[in-house]
Amino acid sequence: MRGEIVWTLRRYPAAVVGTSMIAAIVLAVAAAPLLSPAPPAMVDLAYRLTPPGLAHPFGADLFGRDVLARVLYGGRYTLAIGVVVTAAALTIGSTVGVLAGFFGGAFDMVAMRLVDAMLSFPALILAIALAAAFGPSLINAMTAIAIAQAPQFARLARTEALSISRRPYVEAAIAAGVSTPRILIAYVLRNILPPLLTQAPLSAANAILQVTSLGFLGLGAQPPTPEWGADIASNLEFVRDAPWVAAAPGLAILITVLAFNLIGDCITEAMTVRRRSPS
Amino acid sequence: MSRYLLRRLVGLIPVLALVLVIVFCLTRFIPGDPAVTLLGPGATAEQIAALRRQMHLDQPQGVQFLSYVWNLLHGDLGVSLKTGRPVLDELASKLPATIELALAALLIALAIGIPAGVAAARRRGGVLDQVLRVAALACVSVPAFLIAFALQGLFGSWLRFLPVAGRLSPYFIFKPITGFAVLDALLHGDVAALSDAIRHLLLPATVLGLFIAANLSRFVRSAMIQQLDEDYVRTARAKGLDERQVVYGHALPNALIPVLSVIAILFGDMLGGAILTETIFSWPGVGRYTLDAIRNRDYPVVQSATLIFAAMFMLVSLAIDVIGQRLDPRLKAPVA
Repeated sequence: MRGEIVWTLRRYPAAVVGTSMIAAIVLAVAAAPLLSPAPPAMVDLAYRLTPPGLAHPFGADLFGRDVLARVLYGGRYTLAIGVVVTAAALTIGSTVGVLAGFFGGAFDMVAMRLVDAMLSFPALILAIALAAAFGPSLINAMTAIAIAQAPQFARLARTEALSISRRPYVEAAIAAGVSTPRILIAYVLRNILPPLLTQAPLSAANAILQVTSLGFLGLGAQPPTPEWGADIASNLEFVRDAPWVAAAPGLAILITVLAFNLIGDCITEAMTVRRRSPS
Repeated sequence: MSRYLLRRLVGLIPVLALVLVIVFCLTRFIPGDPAVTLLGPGATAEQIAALRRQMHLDQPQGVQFLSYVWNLLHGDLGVSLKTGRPVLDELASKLPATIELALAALLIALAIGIPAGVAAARRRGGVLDQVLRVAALACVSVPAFLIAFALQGLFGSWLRFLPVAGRLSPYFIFKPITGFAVLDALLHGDVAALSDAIRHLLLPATVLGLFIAANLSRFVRSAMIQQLDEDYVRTARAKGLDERQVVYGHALPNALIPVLSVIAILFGDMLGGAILTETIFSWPGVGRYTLDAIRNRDYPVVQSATLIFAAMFMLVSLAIDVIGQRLDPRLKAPVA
């Protein structure tokens, strides 16, 4: 496994770039108090919409708050959004998928029709409708996106669980009287986790893009939370004259999402190559 | 063929029923009593009770759902809480704008995505392939609003070359025939209005199409790589066929069959992106209408718009499946 990771990294330099970018982002948001010229919530109307300069490297927003500080502190939310939403979607999806694939029958029927129905909605539309119904807040937006992403994991988990449940070693375990929860966790879940995890970076990238989109539409994080999408939205009317208020958080979103996508893209390519090469 | 379509349609029934349940439940998630929310804090108990009766909120949930479906089957999507007009009429008047935008975006996506994917596949591993790959990943990663602001700033404010908002300049007034601005201008033979409509369409369609083009190019690339490795391509080259003919005449049509189903999925992403794009460009379509309704807490509209988006997505997926099945006889496998 370890050698495999090293081999993959050497073969796919883009993955190294993506990982380094994420490491740099983690360091930067961890050191936010050290790197910020001012606290992210500090209002100073004397500096209202100041262009980037010495005092404010990324400029100041409509309340004279430091944009760099808001981007750095906002990054903490962004990374948490990516990780938490993906973990939640993966947990919900794989639980439903494993149970459906392993037990089959009526539960499988109902669960998979529900998955089909949820996948009949464009993902962002479902998330927007859910976020609107739950009420605008960051937690609700994250819940909405996690629910919208879970069906994809459920479908993948079911397919994998279905094929593993028919393997001789699982049948042997059933015959030997191993308890069902143990079979589900130690035999089925353990073996379907790798293919599910390969989807995680792409899922995190999408989650960040969608939660910031909800924030931008006013359905996610609410001011004065320094969330990137919400920050752009609250400065929207000044974008023409003071483009830095949107450029800094916008580019931060681009860089973070790109980092996750670089890793995800390399994993996808590595999987296709392995599947194609004769083993 | 018709049997395949029939089987697909029958298979859609339980899914469609669940879609309706989800849409119905959406408004039930909202905390609090809708009647209380609607009337505000000053309402008396009698007023609330009267409105609850009028909205059938005093009926059991099951009965409410059945009457919702019954009304739906009769084309009754309820009444907008804000304007008091039937939601169906309002949606019907906004739908052409969204379809026009989506078609233009799809056109741009195909025009960029397919050549880019083919070029990357032909020079697999080369410099162009790497550049296109990074460009595609960047386009997939960029938030729609950032590209939109950049294009608005560049073409609208700085070059003053393209309009950055709306669908048609206000001085073009003609009776809508189809509701599609481009088509209406054509039917009226109004060249100035036609060019105006197209110029309005360019920026939003590019923002929406770029994301799709980037995704598409990746799928076209891998499908083309697979096809170019096939024996029939080697045969075609061995018999001395022109390389362009091999790539575009032989390999590309085969590569596009699996890409078709990807286009169905990307169409869903495009509908989601339409909400963002229409909002930024003040495009008078269903997306902006939906967001306005969310802000006004106009729940009948939100509910119906969500349903319309799902219906469009399902319809396009079904159509693309049927087309793909018709193009490729090998896909005649039974449908789960």
